[in-house]
Amino acid sequence: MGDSTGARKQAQSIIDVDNLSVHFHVDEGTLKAVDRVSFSIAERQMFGLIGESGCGKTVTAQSLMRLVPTPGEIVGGSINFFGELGGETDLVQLDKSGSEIRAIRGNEIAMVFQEPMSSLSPIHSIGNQLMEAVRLHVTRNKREAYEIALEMLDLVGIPNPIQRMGEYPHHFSGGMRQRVMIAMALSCRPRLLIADEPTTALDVTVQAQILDLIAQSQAQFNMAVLYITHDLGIIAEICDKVAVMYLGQIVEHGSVRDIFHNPLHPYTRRLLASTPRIGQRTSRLQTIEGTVPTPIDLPIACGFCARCPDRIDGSCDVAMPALVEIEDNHFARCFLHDERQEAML
Amino acid sequence: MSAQPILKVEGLKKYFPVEKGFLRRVVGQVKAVDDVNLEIAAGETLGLVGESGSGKTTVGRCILRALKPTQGSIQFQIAENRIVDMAQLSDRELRAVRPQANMIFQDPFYSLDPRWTILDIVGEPLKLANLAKGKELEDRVAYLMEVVGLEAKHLRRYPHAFSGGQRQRIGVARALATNPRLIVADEPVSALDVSTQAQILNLLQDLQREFALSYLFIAHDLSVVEHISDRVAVMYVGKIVEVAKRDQLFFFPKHPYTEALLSAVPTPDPDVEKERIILPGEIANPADPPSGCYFHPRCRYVKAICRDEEPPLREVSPGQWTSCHFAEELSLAGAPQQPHGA
Repeated sequence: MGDSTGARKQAQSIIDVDNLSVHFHVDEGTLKAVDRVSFSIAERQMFGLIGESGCGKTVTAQSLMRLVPTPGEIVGGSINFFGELGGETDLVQLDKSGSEIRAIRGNEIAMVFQEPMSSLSPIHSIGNQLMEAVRLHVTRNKREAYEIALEMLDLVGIPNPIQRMGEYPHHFSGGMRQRVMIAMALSCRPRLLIADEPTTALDVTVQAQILDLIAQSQAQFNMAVLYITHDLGIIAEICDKVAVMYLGQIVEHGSVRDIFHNPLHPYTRRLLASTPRIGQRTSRLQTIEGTVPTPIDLPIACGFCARCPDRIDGSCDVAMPALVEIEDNHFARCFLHDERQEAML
Repeated sequence: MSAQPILKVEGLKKYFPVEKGFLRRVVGQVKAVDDVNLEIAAGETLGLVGESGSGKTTVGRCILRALKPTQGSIQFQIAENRIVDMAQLSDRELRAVRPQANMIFQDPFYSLDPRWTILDIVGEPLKLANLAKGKELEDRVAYLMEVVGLEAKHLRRYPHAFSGGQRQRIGVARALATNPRLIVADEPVSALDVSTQAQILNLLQDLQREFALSYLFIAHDLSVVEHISDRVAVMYVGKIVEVAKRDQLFFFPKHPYTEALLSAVPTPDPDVEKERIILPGEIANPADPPSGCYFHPRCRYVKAICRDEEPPLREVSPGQWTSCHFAEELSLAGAPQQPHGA
């Protein structure tokens, strides 16, 4: 589902994240959940963010919504969001419970979470929960809100929407709940949809339905999607651009073809090699030795160097490589490809 | 593969009653497992796949007698020339058989008691079976730790000190403790990250070779099942709809449900073009299954007979059993064949 035309590639960006850092102040020290992350998402783009648990991909998404939980704090960087009327807003500068961010959150930027059960209220009907979002952002009129909610349920493929409006989340299956979440997110016609592992809790056939729905809605509403997942297969099937995160940093960034056919960073390579693929016969999977360290008081070194089979002793373990454009629009953070170091603060 | 299977399940049924009202009258049955037959040879891995609610976990639990089956026989070869029917054994008799079959659980965070040390956790099955105690027990646990790739000196640590992958290794060590012949692994890698998942899969394969283990490998992730299994069974609403050798099932499926499952797995290659079959609706409710073939409301090849007649599971090509009226006529797409190696 790549870009339809070459010209689309240079489309205007809808959000520019620059040098974003999010730290969690915990008893053991400062946990750098997100460490100088930069990327931008163009209009109508399907942008994938991939990484293993604890790499900071969810915290990155939470920062875009200004929903980082305590004791987390955005300590640096900017998130420039380009609004509908061409205005530019740095989301980091906004008061996180002020009216400005609330006009954007849920309205221009909407989010779908991993666990649809815990994201819906068990004591309110589906209809009321949908109408709440609509009445907050689109219209105060109850009748109109009802019509919009009904239309959205129908659009996301829920059979019998009129009857379903009065039912409660426990009447819905996992896939149906995720459809409701998507209906809710789409009801305000957002320009950016953040999907944080929306299919991880679902079966593979239901996952296929939801991926299809997200791709369809993207085309229909002309929105950009930030798709967060640990599943390389999903990224390959639906995304245009990909950023690979490891230990709070983006280690590689490029088009989906670059990442899958010409991975530059040893972590990306290993991640691809350790994934069993359907239809492929390998007697043994490659593994990545060791485990991800906790990002608290890490030494100045490449975060992957302890597990990296290709590390260069004397460089990788004493300095942090910078994220450098190695090929056209293909960035990697690795001394194997470029000697430039990250300027440490 | 020896001629005598180590496990032979015939006509296995597990129904759960649906109760209603103050008197808890039984108003229906949830047929979680409905007439399942399967065989596992010594040293073989049988993969069992299906969506949530298909009954695959219930099959695993019945085989280990964590649940008492409603009907059917579970012939388990506990030693050369000694076969017992697990379904008929009393609790007392079971105790003697249990060391021969163990389980690895899905979630390495909830399946280990946080207040027990690794020595307690891994040593428990040995104690229960009176196989070892004291110094002998400690030595055995230390040995098992090394077998699964952990350091024996960490014996007295608690589970919280270990990462997810390490905890799953502890779960594997516990399953190995009593030298079993059969291990039922219920989604053993689905809670793990990709890189850790590969470590555990490799470990399971190494152990199988070293200790001549047979696995029933239950999972929903088809690429993982494909990697580790010799044969694969596909379940849908309590029944096995297709069972075959791995390559037959993945490259030449004969059941439309298998085809749809295979097509739904995302391929980590942006250039692999394939048709993704989007199944309409959701898995049927086992308390109120559809008429005829349970899959017919979602099947794109459905014909009149499918609504009325339930297709039997029959051998449609050597070693491949399928329950579809049109298994011979349909030409279904399998997994995209990929070159060997990464």
